[in-house]
Order: sequence, then C-alpha cells, then structure tokens
Amino acid sequence: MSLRGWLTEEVPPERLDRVRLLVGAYALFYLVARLRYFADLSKHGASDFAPVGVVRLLASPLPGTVTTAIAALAIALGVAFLAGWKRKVVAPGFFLAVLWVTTYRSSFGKILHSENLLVLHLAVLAAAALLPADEAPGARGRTAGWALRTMSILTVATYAVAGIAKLRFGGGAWLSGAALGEWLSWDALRKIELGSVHSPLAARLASSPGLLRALAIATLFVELGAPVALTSPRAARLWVLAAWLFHASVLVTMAIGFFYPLTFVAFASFFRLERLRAWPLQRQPER
Amino acid sequence: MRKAAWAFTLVATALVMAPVVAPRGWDDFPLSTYPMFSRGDLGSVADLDHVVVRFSDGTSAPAPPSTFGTPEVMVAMKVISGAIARGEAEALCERAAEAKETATATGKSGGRALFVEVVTSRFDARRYFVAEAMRAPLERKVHARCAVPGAAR
Repeated sequence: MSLRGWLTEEVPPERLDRVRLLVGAYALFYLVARLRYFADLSKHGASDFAPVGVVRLLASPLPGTVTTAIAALAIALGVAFLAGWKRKVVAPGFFLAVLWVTTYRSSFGKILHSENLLVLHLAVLAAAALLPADEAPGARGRTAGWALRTMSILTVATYAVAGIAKLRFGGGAWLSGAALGEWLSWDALRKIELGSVHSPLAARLASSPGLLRALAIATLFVELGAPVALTSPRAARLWVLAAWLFHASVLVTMAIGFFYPLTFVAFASFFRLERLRAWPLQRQPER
Repeated sequence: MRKAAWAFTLVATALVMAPVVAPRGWDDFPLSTYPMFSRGDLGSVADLDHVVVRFSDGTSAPAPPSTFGTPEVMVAMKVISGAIARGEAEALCERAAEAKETATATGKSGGRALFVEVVTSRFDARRYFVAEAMRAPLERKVHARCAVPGAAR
C-alpha cells in the first residue's frame, strides 16, 4: 500500500462515527465531572495567572461568570457533537471550546498533561467534519480513514515525544531506573504532604532497583516504540495493550490516572469498532 | 480532500513532534514535551512548598488541594509555590485559614483547627518512607502563620 493509500485508506464510515461518539462522550463526561473546576477559577488569584497556549490572548483572568458561561457552552456543544447535529459547525466549535477551557484551566501555573491527547483528537474530528464528505464515490470512507489514521499518528507522536524527553532530560538515570525510583518516592511524599491520595506501593517499588530498571525500560519501550503501532493492526493491538499496562502501572504505583487512555478511548482509532455488533447507537445521518 | 487532509496531517504531526527540540523546562498546551518525571537529577533531598493546618490537640495535617480551588495536587503545589515566590504567603495563608476545608478539618484526636502555616520543607524522600518517625523534614521555613477565624472560641 502506498503512503497516500495508507493515510486515506477507505474504511467503513461507521468506524469514525463510533470513535466520534466515544471521544465525544468521554470529553462531555470529563467536562461535566470537572465542571466545578472548569467553570470558576476565581479561587486562583490574578497573580497565579500564567497563560499558556491560546489563553495567551488574555492579559488577565476572565471573570468567573464568563468562564462559567464558556464551560456551559462547551457542555452544550458536547451534547450537540454527540447527537451529530450540524457537524460542520458543532465539531469545530466543540473542539475550540474544549481547547479553551482546558488551556484556561492549565493557565494557573500547572499544565495538566492528561488532556493534551483528547484535545488533539477533537481537533482531528473537527477537521474531518469540515472536509468534503462526498466529492467522489468512496470519498466519505477515505475521509473516515484519514481521520482515524491521523488520530493514531498523533497518539503515537505524543508517546514518542514523551519518551524522547525522558532520554534527553533524564538520560542514563532514566535507563538505570534511578530516576524512576526518585520520582516514585518524591511523588508519593509530596502527595502525602499536600493532602492528596498516594500509592502505598510507591515506596516499596522505589527500593527495588531491579524492578525499577525493568519498569523504566518498559516505559521507554512503550513510548519510543509507539510508532510501531502504525505498521499493522496486530502491532497496534499489541502496542495498545502495552500502553494500557503502562498507564495501569502508573495508576497503581503513583496514583496518577490518565483516564483517557485507561478507558481505551484514546486508542479507539486503532480498532475496527464497526465490528462491535452490540453497539447500542446506530450511525446518525448528517443533520 | 486529499491535499487538505495531507496538509492537516503533516502540520499537526510536525506541531506535536516539534517540542522534541525545545529547551529543557519548556512546556505548553496542548503541545508539550511531556516533561513530567523526565528529570534524571532529582536526587532524594528536595524542597517542598506546602500548607499545614495545626490543631488544638497538637496534631497537624496538610491543607488539601481543594483548599486552593483545585482537585489536582500539582496545581495546588504550583499555587503555593507561586504565592511564596511572589511574597504573597500571608495572603495565601489567610485564604487557606478561611477555607471551609480548614474550618471543617479536625486533628487526629478531634482537635479544632487553630493555625495555618505556609511552609517550605526540605525532605529526604529515601528516609521519609523508612519509618513514620523519619517523616519529619530536615529543615522547615515558615513563610506565614495565621489564625483560623473563630478558633479562639
């Protein structure tokens, strides 16, 4: 298969619809579950404001009423996105709204990295909604294939970048497991002292050099090896399993939950979801 | 469709991958180097900015992240560190003392919250987990100490 054919492979449109539903449902649930923290950030002082990304457009924080309105708009757009309404307007709108509320929330001193991939996937779904769907026979299937492939490419790219950062900034200490051991101990310590949930396994693991080294190498294997997932469906399944195990081990040992990959939604683009016959929702026509 | 699709994929992939050449410490959203836990020179001794609630029974407890308007421990840590760095520890202390989380907190023996302290503690992470008694910081600097409203009753 040529590179062009690979990127715009014709796939059943239902596959993209199901991925859209999964990603949309996850994003909507996430917004609703964290509405309190997305809606009103007035508890943060103006001096905490350190804008990142698109929020650099602002010189000072927005009033709580405005951020609440934007968060509510994001939820409304999420409902419309899930329902499949006016996709050419709603999908980009939902992407922009989620981009804004997550970026704004990360603009008070600490960037939360668990939301990056979700935002990137919504960007692809927004672009897919804008692309011509029926310019030629089979074009819609190619648009679906392109969107899913691009989501998968961005997924593996984020993991690869994380792996490269560990090698660049951690180097030998990361390969030996020493850096991981220090991070496990320190992360658990600060969580205890800052009144948060920590993993009781962290300290035990941190004192097991052999296990640390194995886990450090496995982490780099998952992150740097991520592009392998693009080579075949079988490789994708194996990598997704490895990546999920990586996140599960992070949850167990560090009490850090990256729920987008842990729920498998982040990896949905790798799978032939149209094969799930018991899927409760039918493909919805464009409205 | 093809040209636009190709262009989007190439640009998006290039943007996501671009941070691999960013300098150490660079971060942004939604593009990132994912720098969390990438440092290899952390060591076992490090300073931590945090907020401690002191109770009438002589015990103490950390002020939880929700005191600072977030469920995320890392966000709370940045808020505390930022306030200390800007010389605003007093204001943060007052805010924490007035928070409902502090008002409703109780000590290990049921004591009432009396004071809040904004501190920087130097911990040895290796020592910390050896035994409960080893959890005391190596050093502690108190930036601000303030009474919890109504604690004198």
